[in-house]
Amino acid sequence: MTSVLQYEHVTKSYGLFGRRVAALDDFSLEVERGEIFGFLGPNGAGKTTAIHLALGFMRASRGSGHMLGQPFGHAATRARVGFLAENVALYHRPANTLVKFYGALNGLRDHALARHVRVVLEAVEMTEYRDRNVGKFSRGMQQRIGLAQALVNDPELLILDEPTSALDPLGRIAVRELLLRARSAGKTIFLSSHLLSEVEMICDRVAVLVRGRLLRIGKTADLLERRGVAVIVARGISNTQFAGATAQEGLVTITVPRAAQRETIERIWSAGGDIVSVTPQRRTLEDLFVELAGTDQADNRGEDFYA
Amino acid sequence: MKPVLLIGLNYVREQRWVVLSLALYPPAMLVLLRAFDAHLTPGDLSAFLQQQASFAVLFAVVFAASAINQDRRSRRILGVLSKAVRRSQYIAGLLLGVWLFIAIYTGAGLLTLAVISRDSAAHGFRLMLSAYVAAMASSAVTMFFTTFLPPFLATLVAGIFLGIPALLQMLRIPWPNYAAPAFVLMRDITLAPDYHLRPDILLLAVAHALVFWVLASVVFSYRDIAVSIE
Repeated sequence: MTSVLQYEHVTKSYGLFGRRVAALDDFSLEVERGEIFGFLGPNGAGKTTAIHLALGFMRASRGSGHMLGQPFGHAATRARVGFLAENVALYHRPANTLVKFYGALNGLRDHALARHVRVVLEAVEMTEYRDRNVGKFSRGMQQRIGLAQALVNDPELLILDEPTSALDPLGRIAVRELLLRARSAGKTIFLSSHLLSEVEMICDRVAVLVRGRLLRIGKTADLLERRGVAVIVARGISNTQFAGATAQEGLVTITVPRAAQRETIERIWSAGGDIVSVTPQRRTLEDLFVELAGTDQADNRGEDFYA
Repeated sequence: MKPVLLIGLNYVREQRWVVLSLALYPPAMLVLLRAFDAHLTPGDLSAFLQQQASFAVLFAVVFAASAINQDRRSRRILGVLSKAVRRSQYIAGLLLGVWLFIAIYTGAGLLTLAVISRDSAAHGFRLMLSAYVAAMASSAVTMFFTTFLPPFLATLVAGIFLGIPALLQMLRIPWPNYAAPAFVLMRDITLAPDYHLRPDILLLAVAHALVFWVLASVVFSYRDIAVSIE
């Protein structure tokens, strides 16, 4: 695997002199080719700043980074990248003309441009609105056109900042499927989103950023596995024999530390019961997010915050 | 080159109602003047042209001052600069847009003049060509200042910068023409009764426009464009 997006000890500070605030603090990250990478964090965590640095909208105060093998801000490289900004802002033109404009800015011409525009408008299900002015679209429709302009150059790397925030459930499903298809086609997707369930469903790896610092990074499945805890479901026993066990429709559920798993199973067998399942307990991404963001906020909160 | 053209045309398209309104002003004024005084003298027409020339420069400064800011405030700049567009191309595109707008404005004035008085058309062309080139240089100077100052301040500072020769002239301090070709062109347009083209000054003004485009591009390449500007 090769990394398509790489941050190396990047710090980005705003403000002047003594009033400087670090939006990113010694931030390092690598996104590998062909993966969907979820980039999470509470508001003000520095996610958008990290994205803007990669695209060259701003310069790092310290550190450096590479996108598709070139330093951040390399204009020609952006022809191989698609970007959808949070709260996308578009010129008020007919959808077809607008997507064509953005495609042409990326160097597409003539038949190739016309074909790409047609394909992406189909992909975001906006073909029937192609001649209508984008200024008259709803937020959801504008977001679809935003996605179309990001896809028009058939990018190797797709950077999406809250791509589904204004979409209805059907729209979200359509975008999710589109992203999965893109991954199957070998594209890399860097996805910043607050919709954790969505990230959980499609992302191969996830990073959690809080106050400009990377708190956690790893494979989604690994991060969600709650290490050291297993859930045992058994039948043919009474729940009163096991501390904290619950019974429902003849099945007894026992949550035990992984160290006590074997012993508990043997006790169930000794009591004449049968094991139905043993599952390492998983948490949701929301649990992880709240745990990380909450811990950090508590660490940084003043003692008399509510005094 | 293509991105520059696309951004320039897009700018004119975004400003199309303003462009149209202002382009209709010269013919509307000339029609009104004709309606109230059927015998316009060459002097009247010359004064009208001088006024249009001054307006062209003024509009160039005002529009150049707000061009980047409009795109940043609306966040549409992110869509453009996330493509394979260099900052210098973006600045060149906006300048081209302002220049196209001024070309439409001065062209409308000239066309109307040609319809009303064919005899004054040649003189009008010389005058408007000079005003156009002065507007090119003035807008590039303003664009340079707007890369690091808010629009109002950029307009003010550009106005002061472009007007320094007037102050020096008042104080009888000698200054070289090549330092402020836009001022020389405008001075000649507004003060010289029988205006003659000065190709050397025209070329200098074009060179000024290019120099300030380069300066604006360099400064803008170091600017954080996504930071809130409010």
